[in-house]
Amino acid sequence: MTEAISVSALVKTFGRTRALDGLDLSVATGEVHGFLGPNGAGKSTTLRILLGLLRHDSGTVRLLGGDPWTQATELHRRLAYVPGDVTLWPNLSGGEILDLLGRLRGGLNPARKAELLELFELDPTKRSRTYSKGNRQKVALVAALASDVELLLLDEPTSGLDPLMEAAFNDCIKAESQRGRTVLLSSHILAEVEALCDRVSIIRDGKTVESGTLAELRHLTSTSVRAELAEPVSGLGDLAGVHSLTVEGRRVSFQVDTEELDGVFRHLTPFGLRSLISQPPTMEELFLRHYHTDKTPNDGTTQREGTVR
Amino acid sequence: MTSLNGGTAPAPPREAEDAERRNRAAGMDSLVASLTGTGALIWLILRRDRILLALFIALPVLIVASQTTAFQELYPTAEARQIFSQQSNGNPATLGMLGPIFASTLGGLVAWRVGVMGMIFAGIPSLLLVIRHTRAEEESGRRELLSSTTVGRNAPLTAALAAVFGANLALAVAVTIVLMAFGLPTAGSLALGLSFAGAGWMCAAIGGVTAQASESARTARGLSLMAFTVLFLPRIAADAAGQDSDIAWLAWLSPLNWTRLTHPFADEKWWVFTLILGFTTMLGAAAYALSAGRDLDAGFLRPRPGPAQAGPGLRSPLTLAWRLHRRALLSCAVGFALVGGLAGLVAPISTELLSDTQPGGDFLAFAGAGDVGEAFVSLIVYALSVSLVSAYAIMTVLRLRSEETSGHADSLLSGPTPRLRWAWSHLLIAVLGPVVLLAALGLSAGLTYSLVSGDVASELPRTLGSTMAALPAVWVMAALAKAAYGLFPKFAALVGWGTLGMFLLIELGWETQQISDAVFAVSPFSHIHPSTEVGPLTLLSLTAVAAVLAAGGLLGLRRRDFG
Repeated sequence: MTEAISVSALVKTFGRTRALDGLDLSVATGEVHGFLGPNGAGKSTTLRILLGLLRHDSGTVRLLGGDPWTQATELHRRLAYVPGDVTLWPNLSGGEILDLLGRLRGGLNPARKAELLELFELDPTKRSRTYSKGNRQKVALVAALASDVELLLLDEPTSGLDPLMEAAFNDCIKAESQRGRTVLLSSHILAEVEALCDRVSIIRDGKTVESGTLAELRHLTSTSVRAELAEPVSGLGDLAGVHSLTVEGRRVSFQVDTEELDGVFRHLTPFGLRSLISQPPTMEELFLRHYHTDKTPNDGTTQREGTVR
Repeated sequence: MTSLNGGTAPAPPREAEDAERRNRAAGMDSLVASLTGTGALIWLILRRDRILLALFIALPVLIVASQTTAFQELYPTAEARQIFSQQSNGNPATLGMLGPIFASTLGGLVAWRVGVMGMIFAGIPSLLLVIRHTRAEEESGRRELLSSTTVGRNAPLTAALAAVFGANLALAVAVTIVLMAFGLPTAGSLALGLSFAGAGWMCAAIGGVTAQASESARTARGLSLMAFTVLFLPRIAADAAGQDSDIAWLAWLSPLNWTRLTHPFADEKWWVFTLILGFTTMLGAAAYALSAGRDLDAGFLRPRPGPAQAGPGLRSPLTLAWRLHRRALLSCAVGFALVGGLAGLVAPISTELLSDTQPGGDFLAFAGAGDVGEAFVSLIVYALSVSLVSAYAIMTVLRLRSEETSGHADSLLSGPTPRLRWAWSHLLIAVLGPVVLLAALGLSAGLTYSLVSGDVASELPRTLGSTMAALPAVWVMAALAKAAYGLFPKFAALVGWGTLGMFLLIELGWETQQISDAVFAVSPFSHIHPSTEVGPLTLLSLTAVAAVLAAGGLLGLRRRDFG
């Protein structure tokens, strides 16, 4: 499988701030890739480097087989971008902006545009000054989705959209993915990531901390277990991989590392299992684990707060 | 209540009075409530613009000080000043630009020299500042955040006006102190200081009204600059025609000119300040009335719905740039045509006037002209080209920066538009826009002047030609801004406007002989000044300098981070 985006050891500094500090990212052609990280982690900086708006200091970046800085124009014919904070020329109408952006890319399909305008319930005659944040976001989304490109770069594309529009957006991305397009989706909405993404990369402080399919990532974390047993249980706390244990008589609840699951259940069975609820880690738990810093000992910087809802 | 009245009797007068007093008190309360937070907002304005406001005060003070020094040295005796005043007052070009000298004392000369500059240097920043802290704040969405806290409805407008009025008052005090330090009479110093502030106050009120009326800061700025021009124009005609002419009363139609008509150092007419305050109060009240009747973000000049589809023309970065710039360009062209036409009309009057007095040979040489009318036209045209046409070109180049920082440019550059093609789209407007403006100025001035003087065939091409000669110098100014934009984007505005301000100050110093020819030669304007012989080599060299600067800017833009 070829790679649409391949980034390794990417470094970008702004004065004394090290925005990207050895970031790795690999997006296979045809996949929907989630790009996650707390605010200020470097997601938008990465996207702006991929767009050739910023120049990287070191590391390698390949986008659709080309160099995003030197071949920006030809690569941009093959991609569409939705910024996180869409700003539009205030005195142009939404329809004019859509047509302009489409024509610059070499024309857009009018039927497809009409379809998307209807789907997102966007009035193209309004001057963009009068659009709300959500409506400005829709203009950028329609412009991107109506263009016939290989790669979509989306930076928090649903911010400001209502739940109905979010659902419409999810359907569109699924359809685009089935048509074989590659999508890099930066998002904080975990349900959206879970519904759409084949693989995710989580970054923090300019570094990639985790990358893989959701199943793989789940495997790395713990499962929460609640059980009721025939007799009071003992020795559970001594087992490897068991955390946050609470015992109330014959009821127990605890977290267990996924790879230790087997041993723990072997230990429980002799006590007589009466009922058992076992939950895989929720998306929130998965991400909070990465968003809350597990600080390296000699890292003197202050801890960053996670921003997952 | 006393028992003298029965229970069913109508409310005694005292109760009605009480009710009225209560109502009035409630009205007073709501007025006070609508001003809640004004103090904090004033503090915010002073904090955000502390450098701008310091410059706003320092620059006019510097000009006043340098002009006073210059006149002290150039015309040390009463006789020298007398001769100079007579010459100036008999010279329509000077009259048109600066107005008559009211008293041939040192103070009188200084008041004359800085009078019109005061209108511009105090007035224009004042109106821009008010818009910056009212409509621009609202448009950016910051006002919404502020208004959700305990900030009254009228607080933002009040704070902006109060801060700018206060800054003008500080300017007045500073100017007064400087003049008194030179040993000039207290009354005149105060009158001149206050006349600076008066221009600032009136313009701040104009800014207040346009900011309330229009939905965007850009429109508000355009409208208030247009208002400034309209309020400025009648005085050119009136002053150029002379104090004894039939149209001298026109001078009173320019509210901005009232600041000069306070006659600082020339038997001050203090009552004129009541006109200035009246005008300010009237417009201020209009701003509050407009503000009271509208919603947040709304204006009275409502945008109409736009087309659902783009016209066939809107298909490239260049056509988009044209769309973004065309309104400013066309309205500027109309403005320049009006001013040029007026200058051309007034010029022949000047010839008649001057034939009575002794035509100053120095003046004709300074203006590089054969007769006085010609000199008048070429000096006015020159003054407008170097200041206003350059300002237009710089503003157009700096649009690149605002498109970049606002994120608008991202939409284009994340598509298949190369950076340089995008930059060229705006640059082309900055190159060709001045051509249009100078042509409008030169054609209308040449046409009216030649029609009145009766020699269209030779006068029109001559005036048009000498106007267009300013073009390469204007391009150099645009290219300086462009170079700064490409190489040091954060300082683009500072370099663009700073160099223009510096060259204008150098020119001022050169005119009063404080600055040598060699230093003046640094300014691109020196090479196209009417007093010099402007040959093709000069024009080509200036154009080449502009091209090199612009190329440097483009190169820098291609290599640097964007956004």
